[in-house]
Amino acid sequence: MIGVLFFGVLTLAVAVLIVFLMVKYGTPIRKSTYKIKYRFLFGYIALLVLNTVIYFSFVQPNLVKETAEGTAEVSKLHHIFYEGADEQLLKQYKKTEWEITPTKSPFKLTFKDGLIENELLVLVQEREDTDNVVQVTLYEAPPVFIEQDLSQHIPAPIIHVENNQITYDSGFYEDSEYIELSFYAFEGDMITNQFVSDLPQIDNLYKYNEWEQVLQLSVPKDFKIDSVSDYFDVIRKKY
Amino acid sequence: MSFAKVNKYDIVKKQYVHKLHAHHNMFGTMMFVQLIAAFLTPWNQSFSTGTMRAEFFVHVISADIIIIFTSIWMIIVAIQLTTKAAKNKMSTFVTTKQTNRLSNMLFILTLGIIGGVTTQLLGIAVKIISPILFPNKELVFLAELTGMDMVIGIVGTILYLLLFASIGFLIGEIVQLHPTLIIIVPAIIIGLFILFTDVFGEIFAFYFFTSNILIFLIKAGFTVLLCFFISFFIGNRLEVRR
Repeated sequence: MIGVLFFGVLTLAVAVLIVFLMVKYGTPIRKSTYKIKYRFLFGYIALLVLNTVIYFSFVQPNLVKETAEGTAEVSKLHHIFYEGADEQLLKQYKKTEWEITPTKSPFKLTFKDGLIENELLVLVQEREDTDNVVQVTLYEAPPVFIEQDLSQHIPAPIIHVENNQITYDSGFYEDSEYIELSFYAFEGDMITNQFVSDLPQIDNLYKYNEWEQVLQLSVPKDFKIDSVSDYFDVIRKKY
Repeated sequence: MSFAKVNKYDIVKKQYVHKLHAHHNMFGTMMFVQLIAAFLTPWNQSFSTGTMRAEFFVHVISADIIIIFTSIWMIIVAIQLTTKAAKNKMSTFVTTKQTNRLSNMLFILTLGIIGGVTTQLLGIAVKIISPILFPNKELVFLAELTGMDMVIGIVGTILYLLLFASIGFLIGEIVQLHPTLIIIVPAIIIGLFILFTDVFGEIFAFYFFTSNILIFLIKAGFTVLLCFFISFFIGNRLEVRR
Protein backbone atom coordinates (compact mmCIF):
# COMPACT_ATOMS: atom_id res chain seq x y z
CA MET A 1 0.00 0.00 0.00
CA ILE A 2 2.72 2.46 1.03
CA GLY A 3 4.77 1.42 -1.98
CA VAL A 4 1.95 2.23 -4.36
CA LEU A 5 1.33 5.59 -2.70
CA PHE A 6 5.01 6.41 -2.71
CA PHE A 7 5.08 5.50 -6.39
CA GLY A 8 2.08 7.75 -7.03
CA VAL A 9 3.62 10.70 -5.22
CA LEU A 10 6.96 10.19 -6.90
CA THR A 11 5.32 10.08 -10.33
CA LEU A 12 3.43 13.25 -9.46
CA ALA A 13 6.61 15.00 -8.36
CA VAL A 14 8.46 13.92 -11.50
CA ALA A 15 5.57 14.97 -13.73
CA VAL A 16 5.43 18.39 -12.02
CA LEU A 17 9.18 18.74 -12.54
CA ILE A 18 8.83 17.84 -16.22
CA VAL A 19 6.06 20.38 -16.71
CA PHE A 20 8.15 22.99 -14.88
CA LEU A 21 11.20 22.29 -16.99
CA MET A 22 9.17 22.31 -20.18
CA VAL A 23 7.82 25.72 -19.37
CA LYS A 24 11.07 27.11 -18.04
CA TYR A 25 13.44 25.89 -20.73
CA GLY A 26 11.28 24.50 -23.52
CA THR A 27 9.74 27.81 -24.57
CA PRO A 28 11.71 30.15 -26.85
CA ILE A 29 11.99 33.61 -25.36
CA ARG A 30 9.76 35.29 -27.93
CA LYS A 31 6.81 33.00 -27.61
CA SER A 32 3.72 34.82 -26.44
CA THR A 33 2.20 34.38 -23.01
CA TYR A 34 -0.83 32.40 -24.09
CA LYS A 35 1.34 29.62 -25.49
CA ILE A 36 3.04 29.27 -22.13
CA LYS A 37 -0.34 29.19 -20.41
CA TYR A 38 -1.63 26.52 -22.80
CA ARG A 39 1.45 24.45 -22.16
CA PHE A 40 0.62 24.68 -18.49
CA LEU A 41 -2.96 23.67 -19.22
CA PHE A 42 -1.93 20.65 -21.30
CA GLY A 43 0.65 19.70 -18.68
CA TYR A 44 -2.07 19.99 -16.02
CA ILE A 45 -4.45 17.75 -18.00
CA ALA A 46 -1.68 15.24 -18.78
CA LEU A 47 -0.77 15.09 -15.11
CA LEU A 48 -4.37 14.50 -14.10
CA VAL A 49 -4.79 11.77 -16.74
CA LEU A 50 -1.63 10.08 -15.47
CA ASN A 51 -2.96 10.28 -11.92
CA THR A 52 -6.24 8.74 -12.96
CA VAL A 53 -4.46 5.85 -14.67
CA ILE A 54 -2.39 5.27 -11.51
CA TYR A 55 -5.51 5.42 -9.35
CA PHE A 56 -7.45 2.87 -11.36
CA SER A 57 -4.44 0.58 -11.94
CA PHE A 58 -2.82 0.50 -8.51
CA VAL A 59 -4.43 2.61 -5.81
CA GLN A 60 -8.13 1.68 -6.04
CA PRO A 61 -7.58 -2.12 -6.13
CA ASN A 62 -5.45 -1.83 -2.97
CA LEU A 63 -7.97 0.38 -1.25
CA VAL A 64 -10.76 -2.08 -2.10
CA LYS A 65 -8.80 -4.83 -0.34
CA GLU A 66 -8.01 -2.56 2.60
CA THR A 67 -11.63 -1.55 3.23
CA ALA A 68 -12.94 -5.08 2.67
CA GLU A 69 -10.72 -6.44 5.46
CA GLY A 70 -12.56 -4.75 8.32
CA THR A 71 -16.02 -4.81 6.79
CA ALA A 72 -18.84 -5.76 9.11
CA GLU A 73 -22.58 -5.65 8.82
CA VAL A 74 -24.65 -3.83 11.37
CA SER A 75 -25.68 -6.37 13.97
CA LYS A 76 -29.22 -7.68 14.14
CA LEU A 77 -28.62 -9.50 17.38
CA HIS A 78 -31.14 -7.68 19.56
CA HIS A 79 -33.66 -7.73 16.76
CA ILE A 80 -33.31 -11.51 16.40
CA PHE A 81 -33.91 -12.01 20.12
CA TYR A 82 -36.85 -9.67 20.35
CA GLU A 83 -38.44 -11.15 17.24
CA GLY A 84 -37.88 -14.73 18.44
CA ALA A 85 -34.44 -16.35 18.49
CA ASP A 86 -33.54 -18.02 15.20
CA GLU A 87 -30.88 -20.66 15.93
CA GLN A 88 -29.36 -20.45 12.44
CA LEU A 89 -28.97 -16.68 12.55
CA LEU A 90 -27.71 -16.75 16.13
CA LYS A 91 -24.84 -19.13 15.44
CA GLN A 92 -22.66 -16.39 13.97
CA TYR A 93 -22.93 -14.34 17.17
CA LYS A 94 -22.24 -17.11 19.71
CA LYS A 95 -19.23 -16.15 21.81
CA THR A 96 -18.96 -18.29 25.01
CA GLU A 97 -20.91 -20.98 26.87
CA TRP A 98 -20.85 -21.84 30.57
CA GLU A 99 -22.56 -24.49 32.64
CA ILE A 100 -22.96 -23.69 36.32
CA THR A 101 -24.56 -25.24 39.37
CA PRO A 102 -26.01 -22.58 41.66
CA THR A 103 -25.79 -23.20 45.40
CA LYS A 104 -27.84 -20.21 46.55
CA SER A 105 -31.20 -18.78 45.65
CA PRO A 106 -32.06 -16.36 44.21
CA PHE A 107 -29.46 -16.30 41.46
CA LYS A 108 -28.09 -12.77 41.10
CA LEU A 109 -27.45 -10.57 38.12
CA THR A 110 -25.19 -7.79 39.36
CA PHE A 111 -23.52 -4.79 37.85
CA LYS A 112 -19.98 -3.66 38.62
CA ASP A 113 -19.46 0.07 39.03
CA GLY A 114 -19.07 1.90 35.76
CA LEU A 115 -20.93 3.54 32.93
CA ILE A 116 -23.04 1.73 30.39
CA GLU A 117 -24.65 2.74 27.12
CA ASN A 118 -27.34 0.05 27.05
CA GLU A 119 -28.82 -2.41 29.48
CA LEU A 120 -27.87 -6.04 28.97
CA LEU A 121 -30.53 -8.20 27.41
CA VAL A 122 -30.97 -11.45 29.33
CA LEU A 123 -33.21 -14.10 27.87
CA VAL A 124 -34.20 -16.65 30.48
CA GLN A 125 -35.59 -19.88 29.10
CA GLU A 126 -37.25 -22.04 31.71
CA ARG A 127 -36.98 -25.79 31.21
CA GLU A 128 -39.51 -28.40 32.29
CA ASP A 129 -36.99 -30.26 34.49
CA THR A 130 -35.78 -29.30 37.97
CA ASP A 131 -32.06 -30.19 37.53
CA ASN A 132 -30.04 -27.54 39.30
CA VAL A 133 -27.98 -26.68 36.25
CA VAL A 134 -27.88 -23.32 34.47
CA GLN A 135 -26.53 -23.11 30.95
CA VAL A 136 -25.31 -19.64 30.06
CA THR A 137 -24.63 -18.58 26.49
CA LEU A 138 -23.19 -15.23 25.55
CA TYR A 139 -23.98 -13.81 22.12
CA GLU A 140 -21.96 -10.83 21.00
CA ALA A 141 -21.84 -8.52 18.00
CA PRO A 142 -19.00 -6.03 17.45
CA PRO A 143 -19.38 -2.25 17.38
CA VAL A 144 -19.84 -1.01 13.82
CA PHE A 145 -19.28 2.41 12.33
CA ILE A 146 -19.68 2.91 8.56
CA GLU A 147 -19.47 -0.83 7.88
CA GLN A 148 -16.25 -1.15 9.88
CA ASP A 149 -15.76 -3.52 12.78
CA LEU A 150 -14.33 -1.45 15.64
CA SER A 151 -13.85 -4.29 18.14
CA GLN A 152 -10.09 -3.70 17.99
CA HIS A 153 -10.54 -0.15 19.24
CA ILE A 154 -13.53 -0.34 21.60
CA PRO A 155 -13.25 -2.93 24.38
CA ALA A 156 -16.28 -5.12 24.95
CA PRO A 157 -18.14 -5.14 28.26
CA ILE A 158 -17.07 -8.14 30.32
CA ILE A 159 -19.42 -10.82 31.64
CA HIS A 160 -18.18 -12.69 34.73
CA VAL A 161 -20.07 -15.93 35.30
CA GLU A 162 -19.89 -17.54 38.73
CA ASN A 163 -21.98 -20.26 40.37
CA ASN A 164 -24.38 -17.89 42.13
CA GLN A 165 -24.16 -14.73 40.14
CA ILE A 166 -23.36 -13.12 36.84
CA THR A 167 -21.58 -9.78 36.96
CA TYR A 168 -21.83 -7.32 34.14
CA ASP A 169 -18.74 -5.12 33.89
CA SER A 170 -18.98 -2.33 31.30
CA GLY A 171 -15.18 -1.92 31.38
CA PHE A 172 -15.72 1.82 31.24
CA TYR A 173 -15.35 3.96 34.32
CA GLU A 174 -15.27 7.67 34.98
CA ASP A 175 -11.47 7.71 34.92
CA SER A 176 -11.23 5.60 31.75
CA GLU A 177 -9.49 7.14 28.78
CA TYR A 178 -11.84 8.66 26.23
CA ILE A 179 -11.43 6.96 22.86
CA GLU A 180 -11.10 9.16 19.77
CA LEU A 181 -10.95 7.55 16.37
CA SER A 182 -10.43 9.34 13.07
CA PHE A 183 -11.27 7.97 9.66
CA TYR A 184 -11.62 9.09 6.10
CA ALA A 185 -13.97 7.93 3.38
CA PHE A 186 -14.02 8.20 -0.40
CA GLU A 187 -17.46 9.00 -1.76
CA GLY A 188 -18.58 9.62 -5.30
CA ASP A 189 -19.20 13.27 -6.12
CA MET A 190 -22.73 14.68 -6.30
CA ILE A 191 -22.92 14.50 -10.11
CA THR A 192 -21.66 10.92 -10.42
CA ASN A 193 -23.98 9.91 -7.57
CA GLN A 194 -26.88 11.50 -9.43
CA PHE A 195 -26.40 9.45 -12.58
CA VAL A 196 -24.81 6.22 -11.32
CA SER A 197 -27.48 4.64 -9.17
CA ASP A 198 -25.44 1.60 -8.09
CA LEU A 199 -22.50 3.63 -6.78
CA PRO A 200 -22.37 2.86 -3.04
CA GLN A 201 -22.98 5.75 -0.66
CA ILE A 202 -22.48 6.07 3.06
CA ASP A 203 -25.79 5.27 4.74
CA ASN A 204 -25.58 7.37 7.83
CA LEU A 205 -22.49 9.16 9.04
CA TYR A 206 -23.91 9.59 12.51
CA LYS A 207 -24.94 6.00 13.09
CA TYR A 208 -22.71 4.08 15.44
CA ASN A 209 -23.70 0.63 16.63
CA GLU A 210 -22.33 -0.17 20.08
CA TRP A 211 -21.34 -3.64 21.23
CA GLU A 212 -24.43 -5.80 21.34
CA GLN A 213 -24.52 -8.56 23.91
CA VAL A 214 -27.23 -10.98 24.85
CA LEU A 215 -27.10 -13.56 27.64
CA GLN A 216 -29.23 -16.62 27.18
CA LEU A 217 -29.89 -18.62 30.33
CA SER A 218 -31.39 -22.06 30.30
CA VAL A 219 -32.74 -22.56 33.81
CA PRO A 220 -34.73 -25.24 35.69
CA LYS A 221 -38.39 -24.82 36.48
CA ASP A 222 -39.30 -22.05 38.98
CA PHE A 223 -35.70 -20.80 39.09
CA LYS A 224 -35.49 -17.48 40.87
CA ILE A 225 -33.40 -14.63 39.52
CA ASP A 226 -32.74 -11.32 41.20
CA SER A 227 -31.49 -8.55 38.93
CA VAL A 228 -30.72 -4.84 39.11
CA SER A 229 -33.45 -3.62 36.80
CA ASP A 230 -31.57 -0.54 35.54
CA TYR A 231 -28.81 -2.59 34.01
CA PHE A 232 -30.59 -5.73 32.81
CA ASP A 233 -33.54 -6.30 30.58
CA VAL A 234 -34.71 -9.75 31.62
CA ILE A 235 -37.16 -11.58 29.41
CA ARG A 236 -38.53 -14.90 30.65
CA LYS A 237 -39.74 -17.59 28.31
CA LYS A 238 -40.88 -21.15 28.89
CA TYR A 239 -39.87 -24.05 26.69
CA MET B 1 -12.92 48.07 -50.51
CA SER B 2 -12.12 44.38 -50.64
CA PHE B 3 -13.65 41.92 -53.08
CA ALA B 4 -12.28 38.86 -51.31
CA LYS B 5 -15.05 36.36 -50.63
CA VAL B 6 -15.28 35.62 -46.92
CA ASN B 7 -16.18 32.15 -45.74
CA LYS B 8 -18.39 32.15 -42.63
CA TYR B 9 -16.85 28.94 -41.35
CA ASP B 10 -13.34 30.45 -41.58
CA ILE B 11 -14.43 33.56 -39.70
CA VAL B 12 -15.98 31.53 -36.90
CA LYS B 13 -12.85 29.37 -36.71
CA LYS B 14 -10.56 32.45 -36.61
CA GLN B 15 -12.71 34.13 -34.00
CA TYR B 16 -12.79 30.97 -31.93
CA VAL B 17 -8.99 30.62 -32.07
CA HIS B 18 -8.64 34.30 -31.30
CA LYS B 19 -10.93 33.91 -28.26
CA LEU B 20 -8.81 31.02 -27.06
CA HIS B 21 -5.74 33.23 -27.30
CA ALA B 22 -7.35 36.40 -25.98
CA HIS B 23 -8.95 34.69 -22.98
CA HIS B 24 -6.06 32.40 -22.07
CA ASN B 25 -6.14 33.81 -18.54
CA MET B 26 -9.48 32.07 -18.01
CA PHE B 27 -7.76 28.69 -18.04
CA GLY B 28 -5.09 29.93 -15.65
CA THR B 29 -7.86 31.07 -13.34
CA MET B 30 -9.61 27.72 -13.70
CA MET B 31 -6.47 25.81 -12.69
CA PHE B 32 -5.91 28.15 -9.75
CA VAL B 33 -9.52 27.85 -8.57
CA GLN B 34 -9.52 24.08 -8.96
CA LEU B 35 -6.25 23.70 -7.07
CA ILE B 36 -7.62 25.79 -4.19
CA ALA B 37 -10.72 23.57 -4.18
CA ALA B 38 -8.54 20.46 -4.28
CA PHE B 39 -6.57 21.78 -1.32
CA LEU B 40 -9.80 22.29 0.65
CA THR B 41 -11.37 18.97 -0.37
CA PRO B 42 -9.86 16.69 2.32
CA TRP B 43 -11.15 18.97 5.09
CA ASN B 44 -14.32 20.08 3.38
CA GLN B 45 -16.74 17.52 4.76
CA SER B 46 -15.98 16.43 8.29
CA PHE B 47 -18.45 14.66 10.48
CA SER B 48 -18.30 13.43 14.03
CA THR B 49 -20.46 11.31 16.22
CA GLY B 50 -19.91 9.69 19.54
CA THR B 51 -21.00 7.89 22.64
CA MET B 52 -20.14 8.26 26.31
CA ARG B 53 -16.78 6.65 25.84
CA ALA B 54 -15.80 7.23 22.24
CA GLU B 55 -15.92 9.81 19.50
CA PHE B 56 -15.55 9.18 15.78
CA PHE B 57 -14.39 11.69 13.18
CA VAL B 58 -14.77 11.12 9.45
CA HIS B 59 -13.39 13.18 6.59
CA VAL B 60 -15.51 12.47 3.53
CA ILE B 61 -13.54 13.06 0.36
CA SER B 62 -15.27 13.68 -2.95
CA ALA B 63 -14.96 16.11 -5.84
CA ASP B 64 -17.98 18.14 -4.67
CA ILE B 65 -16.14 21.32 -3.74
CA ILE B 66 -14.10 21.18 -6.96
CA ILE B 67 -17.37 20.94 -8.90
CA ILE B 68 -18.82 23.91 -6.99
CA PHE B 69 -15.71 26.06 -7.47
CA THR B 70 -15.48 25.20 -11.18
CA SER B 71 -19.19 25.98 -11.63
CA ILE B 72 -18.68 29.39 -10.04
CA TRP B 73 -15.69 29.96 -12.30
CA MET B 74 -17.78 28.95 -15.32
CA ILE B 75 -20.61 31.38 -14.49
CA ILE B 76 -18.14 34.25 -14.00
CA VAL B 77 -16.32 33.43 -17.24
CA ALA B 78 -19.61 33.33 -19.18
CA ILE B 79 -20.63 36.71 -17.77
CA GLN B 80 -17.20 38.08 -18.59
CA LEU B 81 -17.65 37.09 -22.25
CA THR B 82 -20.65 39.41 -22.53
CA THR B 83 -18.78 42.49 -21.29
CA LYS B 84 -17.88 45.34 -23.61
CA ALA B 85 -14.18 44.65 -23.13
CA ALA B 86 -14.60 41.08 -24.34
CA LYS B 87 -16.73 42.16 -27.31
CA ASN B 88 -14.22 44.86 -28.26
CA LYS B 89 -11.50 42.25 -28.50
CA MET B 90 -13.38 40.86 -31.50
CA SER B 91 -13.60 44.22 -33.27
CA THR B 92 -10.33 43.66 -35.11
CA PHE B 93 -12.06 40.89 -37.06
CA VAL B 94 -14.45 40.98 -39.95
CA THR B 95 -17.37 39.92 -37.86
CA THR B 96 -21.11 39.66 -37.75
CA LYS B 97 -23.26 39.05 -34.73
CA GLN B 98 -23.97 35.56 -35.99
CA THR B 99 -20.31 34.52 -36.31
CA ASN B 100 -19.53 36.09 -32.96
CA ARG B 101 -22.35 34.09 -31.35
CA LEU B 102 -21.19 30.85 -32.88
CA SER B 103 -17.61 31.43 -31.80
CA ASN B 104 -18.83 32.32 -28.31
CA MET B 105 -20.82 29.08 -28.14
CA LEU B 106 -17.82 27.09 -29.31
CA PHE B 107 -15.61 28.81 -26.79
CA ILE B 108 -18.03 28.13 -23.94
CA LEU B 109 -18.32 24.52 -25.07
CA THR B 110 -14.52 24.25 -24.95
CA LEU B 111 -14.43 25.77 -21.47
CA GLY B 112 -17.14 23.35 -20.35
CA ILE B 113 -15.35 20.30 -21.72
CA ILE B 114 -11.98 21.27 -20.24
CA GLY B 115 -13.60 22.30 -16.94
CA GLY B 116 -15.64 19.08 -16.73
CA VAL B 117 -12.76 16.75 -17.54
CA THR B 118 -10.28 18.43 -15.20
CA THR B 119 -12.83 18.61 -12.35
CA GLN B 120 -13.42 14.88 -12.35
CA LEU B 121 -9.77 13.98 -12.86
CA LEU B 122 -8.70 16.32 -10.06
CA GLY B 123 -11.19 14.59 -7.78
CA ILE B 124 -9.27 11.36 -8.41
CA ALA B 125 -5.93 13.11 -7.80
CA VAL B 126 -7.15 14.25 -4.38
CA LYS B 127 -8.04 10.63 -3.57
CA ILE B 128 -4.47 9.58 -4.38
CA ILE B 129 -3.00 12.22 -2.11
CA SER B 130 -5.44 11.76 0.81
CA PRO B 131 -3.78 8.68 2.38
CA ILE B 132 -0.60 10.74 2.63
CA LEU B 133 -2.49 13.61 4.26
CA PHE B 134 -4.08 11.25 6.77
CA PRO B 135 -1.34 8.74 7.59
CA ASN B 136 -2.82 7.79 10.97
CA LYS B 137 -6.39 7.50 9.81
CA GLU B 138 -8.16 4.45 8.52
CA LEU B 139 -10.12 4.37 5.28
CA VAL B 140 -13.61 3.24 6.29
CA PHE B 141 -15.53 3.55 3.09
CA LEU B 142 -14.72 3.47 -0.59
CA ALA B 143 -17.16 4.15 -3.40
CA GLU B 144 -15.44 1.99 -5.99
CA LEU B 145 -15.51 3.73 -9.35
CA THR B 146 -15.44 2.08 -12.74
CA GLY B 147 -14.24 3.65 -15.97
CA MET B 148 -17.85 4.02 -17.08
CA ASP B 149 -18.74 5.83 -13.83
CA MET B 150 -15.93 8.28 -14.58
CA VAL B 151 -17.18 8.86 -18.13
CA ILE B 152 -20.73 9.45 -16.87
CA GLY B 153 -19.39 11.79 -14.18
CA ILE B 154 -17.39 13.75 -16.75
CA VAL B 155 -20.34 14.04 -19.17
CA GLY B 156 -22.64 15.08 -16.32
CA THR B 157 -20.17 17.70 -15.10
CA ILE B 158 -19.72 19.11 -18.60
CA LEU B 159 -23.49 19.39 -18.99
CA TYR B 160 -23.87 21.14 -15.64
CA LEU B 161 -21.04 23.54 -16.47
CA LEU B 162 -22.63 24.36 -19.82
CA LEU B 163 -25.96 24.86 -18.09
CA PHE B 164 -24.42 27.29 -15.59
CA ALA B 165 -22.46 29.02 -18.35
CA SER B 166 -25.57 29.58 -20.44
CA ILE B 167 -27.38 31.04 -17.43
CA GLY B 168 -24.35 33.24 -16.71
CA PHE B 169 -24.21 34.29 -20.34
CA LEU B 170 -27.91 35.21 -20.28
CA ILE B 171 -27.51 37.23 -17.09
CA GLY B 172 -24.48 38.94 -18.63
CA GLU B 173 -26.42 39.94 -21.74
CA ILE B 174 -29.34 41.26 -19.67
CA VAL B 175 -26.97 43.32 -17.55
CA GLN B 176 -25.47 44.83 -20.71
CA LEU B 177 -28.83 46.42 -21.57
CA HIS B 178 -28.40 49.14 -18.96
CA PRO B 179 -25.72 49.81 -16.30
CA THR B 180 -28.27 49.90 -13.47
CA LEU B 181 -29.21 46.30 -14.22
CA ILE B 182 -25.92 45.19 -12.65
CA ILE B 183 -27.58 45.84 -9.30
CA ILE B 184 -31.21 45.23 -10.25
CA VAL B 185 -30.79 41.77 -11.86
CA PRO B 186 -29.02 40.07 -8.91
CA ALA B 187 -31.49 41.76 -6.51
CA ILE B 188 -34.45 40.45 -8.53
CA ILE B 189 -32.96 36.95 -8.69
CA ILE B 190 -32.36 36.86 -4.92
CA GLY B 191 -35.80 38.37 -4.27
CA LEU B 192 -37.55 35.82 -6.48
CA PHE B 193 -35.54 33.06 -4.84
CA ILE B 194 -36.77 34.14 -1.40
CA LEU B 195 -40.38 34.72 -2.50
CA PHE B 196 -40.78 31.63 -4.65
CA THR B 197 -38.64 29.08 -2.88
CA ASP B 198 -41.03 26.28 -3.85
CA VAL B 199 -40.88 27.15 -7.54
CA PHE B 200 -37.08 27.28 -7.42
CA GLY B 201 -37.14 23.98 -5.55
CA GLU B 202 -39.12 22.43 -8.39
CA ILE B 203 -36.75 23.90 -10.97
CA PHE B 204 -33.75 22.46 -9.10
CA ALA B 205 -35.51 19.12 -8.76
CA PHE B 206 -36.17 19.12 -12.50
CA TYR B 207 -32.41 18.95 -13.07
CA PHE B 208 -30.89 17.54 -9.90
CA PHE B 209 -33.27 14.59 -9.52
CA THR B 210 -32.85 13.35 -13.06
CA SER B 211 -31.03 10.07 -12.74
CA ASN B 212 -30.81 9.21 -16.42
CA ILE B 213 -27.91 10.95 -18.14
CA LEU B 214 -29.63 10.90 -21.54
CA ILE B 215 -32.77 12.58 -20.20
CA PHE B 216 -30.53 15.08 -18.43
CA LEU B 217 -28.68 15.67 -21.70
CA ILE B 218 -32.01 16.58 -23.34
CA LYS B 219 -33.08 18.81 -20.43
CA ALA B 220 -29.71 20.55 -20.11
CA GLY B 221 -29.24 20.81 -23.88
CA PHE B 222 -32.66 22.37 -24.35
CA THR B 223 -32.08 24.83 -21.49
CA VAL B 224 -28.65 25.80 -22.83
CA LEU B 225 -30.05 26.45 -26.31
CA LEU B 226 -32.98 28.39 -24.85
CA CYS B 227 -30.67 30.58 -22.73
CA PHE B 228 -28.40 31.24 -25.71
CA PHE B 229 -31.39 32.01 -27.91
CA ILE B 230 -32.72 34.57 -25.43
CA SER B 231 -29.18 35.96 -24.97
CA PHE B 232 -28.79 36.42 -28.71
CA PHE B 233 -32.20 38.01 -28.94
CA ILE B 234 -31.18 40.49 -26.23
CA GLY B 235 -27.78 40.90 -27.91
CA ASN B 236 -29.50 41.98 -31.12
CA ARG B 237 -30.83 45.00 -29.27
CA LEU B 238 -27.29 46.07 -28.50
CA GLU B 239 -24.88 47.63 -30.93
CA VAL B 240 -21.68 45.78 -31.75
CA ARG B 241 -19.61 48.67 -30.38
CA ARG B 242 -20.75 51.70 -28.48
